[in-house]
Amino acid sequence: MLQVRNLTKIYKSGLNDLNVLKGVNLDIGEAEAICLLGASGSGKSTLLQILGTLDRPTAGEVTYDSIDLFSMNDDQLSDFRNKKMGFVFQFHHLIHELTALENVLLPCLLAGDNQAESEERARYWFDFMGLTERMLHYPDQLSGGELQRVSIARSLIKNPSILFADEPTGNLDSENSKKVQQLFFQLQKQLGLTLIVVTHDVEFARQFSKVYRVQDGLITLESQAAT
Amino acid sequence: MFSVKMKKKIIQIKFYLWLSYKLLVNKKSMFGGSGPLSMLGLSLGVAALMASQSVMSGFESTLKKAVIDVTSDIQVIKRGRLIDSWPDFKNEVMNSSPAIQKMLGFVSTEAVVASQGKVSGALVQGLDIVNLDGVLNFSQRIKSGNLPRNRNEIAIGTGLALKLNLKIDDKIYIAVPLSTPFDSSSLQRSAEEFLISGVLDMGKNDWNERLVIAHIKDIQRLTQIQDRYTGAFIKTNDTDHVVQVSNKMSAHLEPKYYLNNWYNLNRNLLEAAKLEKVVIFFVVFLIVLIAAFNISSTLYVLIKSRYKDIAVLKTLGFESKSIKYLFIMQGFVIGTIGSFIGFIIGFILCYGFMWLQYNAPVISGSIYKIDRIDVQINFFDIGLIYLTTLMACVLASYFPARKASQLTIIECMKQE
Repeated sequence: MLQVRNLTKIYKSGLNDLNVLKGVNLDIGEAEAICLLGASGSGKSTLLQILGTLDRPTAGEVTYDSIDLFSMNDDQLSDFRNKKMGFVFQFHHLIHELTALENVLLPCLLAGDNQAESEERARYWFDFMGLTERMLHYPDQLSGGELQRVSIARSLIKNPSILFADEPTGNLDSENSKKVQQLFFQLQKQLGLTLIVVTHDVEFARQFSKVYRVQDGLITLESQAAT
Repeated sequence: MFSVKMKKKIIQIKFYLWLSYKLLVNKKSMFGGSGPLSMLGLSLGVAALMASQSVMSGFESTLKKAVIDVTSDIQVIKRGRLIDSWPDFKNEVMNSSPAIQKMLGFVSTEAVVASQGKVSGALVQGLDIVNLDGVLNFSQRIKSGNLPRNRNEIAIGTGLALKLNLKIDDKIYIAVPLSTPFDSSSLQRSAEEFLISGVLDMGKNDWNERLVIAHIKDIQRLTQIQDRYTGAFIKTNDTDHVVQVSNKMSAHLEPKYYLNNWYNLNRNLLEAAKLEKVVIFFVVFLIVLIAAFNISSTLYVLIKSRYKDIAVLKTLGFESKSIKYLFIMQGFVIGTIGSFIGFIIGFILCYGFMWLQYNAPVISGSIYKIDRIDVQINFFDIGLIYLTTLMACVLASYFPARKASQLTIIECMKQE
C-alpha cells in the first residue's frame, strides 16, 4: 500500500545541514499496524510527517497504491489527505472556538459533503467513543481523555485508509492512555485501517504487529509478531 | 452539472464565512485582543461617513423641497409686461411641453410693509389660494395660523414675524408702487391694511424675511392691475429633469417669455453642495482607510496566535488558497460587523444633529440660505459606504491572509 524508497530529509540550519533521514526504505501493507520507536530527535516524527504528506522529503519517493505522492502539487495533496488520511497528535489540536461536533465535522464541511450524512456519521463516532453527551461541549469543557477521543473521531469521519498517530497517548494519564491504546487496535481491526503510530511507550509498542526503530536517520525492523 | 458545482461552491463559501465568524467573534479574540478596538475605529469612520453624507444629502433635499414648495418646478413671466389674457397665456404655455401637469397664475410686486412703527421691504405674492395644491405647497409650511382665506388676509414668513414682532391677527400695512409708464419721475403708491392669518416657514432664510402671501384678488386690487398676471408657476411630472423640460419649453415659446426653474434658482449652491459631498466623502473615507490598516495589523497578530489552528486545518485538507479565503473572509466579517455598528452610530449622530437643530441655532440661514437641514439617510449612500468599506477591509486582510496561506504545516507546528 505505502512504499518508501530512499527517503532523505535534510534541514538547512545555518552553515550546517541537518540530515534527519538518510535513505529510509519501508513497505507498509494494507490494514497493517506498525509502530515507530526511537529516541527524541531520531527522526521518527519527521518520517511520520512525510508519510502523512505534511512535509516533503529532500529526496526519495513515497508511493500510495503506485501513485507517487510527491509528484502531486500542494492542492492535490491537501485533497488526498482529506480523503485518505487521518491524523491524531500528542495534543488534541481541536479548535477551541468550535464545539466537539463542529470539530469532528470540519473535514466534511471543507469537502462540501452532504451535511445531514456527515452529521449522521459524526453521531455514530460520538456514540462509538461514548461521547454522545459531550457533542455540543467546547474543548475547554472536556477532559484530556475525552479530547483525545474527539480528535480520533475527527480523524475517522472521512473513512480514511491510513491513520497516523504521533505519540497519541503521550499527554494522557495511564488509565486514559490504556483506553486510547485499546481504541486504536479496535478501530484498526474493525475498519481494516492501516495504522502508523509513533510512540515512546514500549508497552504500547509491543502490541503492534511490526515495530520499527528509527535511529540516526535510518530505520530497522525491531520486532514482528508471528502471524 | 453546473448547478451541482455552483451549489457546492455556495456551500463552501457559507462554510468559510461561518468558520471565519467563529474564529473571529469569540471570547478570546473579542474581549482580550485588539480586534474590538480596530473594529470600533472602523465603525467610527463609517458613522462619520454616514452622518456627513446624510447631512449633505439633507442640505440638497431640504433646499430643493423648499424651493419647489414655494416656487414650483418652473416659473414663466412675460418680459417687462403683465399677462393680459390668462386663458390665451395658459393655452400657449400648456402646449409647449407634455410634461406640464398644472399651472397657477400669480401676481408679484415689491412692497414696503409697516407695523407698529417698524418698516421692512417685502416681496408680495398674490396667489389663487384655493387652487394652490399640486403646484405650490404652502399648507405644509404653516408654523401657526392658516393660509389667507378672507379678503385682506396675509401670511408672512417666520423671519419677518420676528423682525417686526408680528403674530397672528396683528394688522400690517402694505404699500406698493404703482406703475406710471408715462412719468418716471413721479412715484404713486397704493396702500392697504392687512390682517396676519398665518406665519409660514418658507424654507429659505431670505424668503422668511421678505415673502408675503396674499390672495391674488387682493394684490390685483392693491396694485391696480385688474385681472392681469405677472406670470405662472408650473408643476411638471419630471422634477429631477426640470432643466431639460424648461429648455424645451423655451424653444417652443416666444422670446417675450422668460423661464426659470428650481434648479437654476439655486444652481451655485446645489453645484457647490454636490462637490462638497464628494470631497467630504473622500476626506472622511481616510478614517476608514486608517481603520483598515489597523485591521490589517490586528489580523497579522491574530494569524500569529493561530499557527496551531492553521496547521490543524491544513492537516485536515485545507488548501493554501482555502486558508487565504478564510482570513480574507475575516476581513469581510470585520467590515460587515464594523459597518453595521457604524450605521447604528451614524443613525444616532443624524438624529442627534436633527435634535440639536430644533433646540439650538446650528446653521446660519444668512450664509447657507436655509437654517435647518432635514437629514436625509438614503440607501444609495449607505450602499456606497458599505461597499467601499468592505473593499478596504478585504484589501487590508489580503496581505495577512496571503502570509498565512504561505505557511507550511511544519512551519506552523514549529512556531506554535
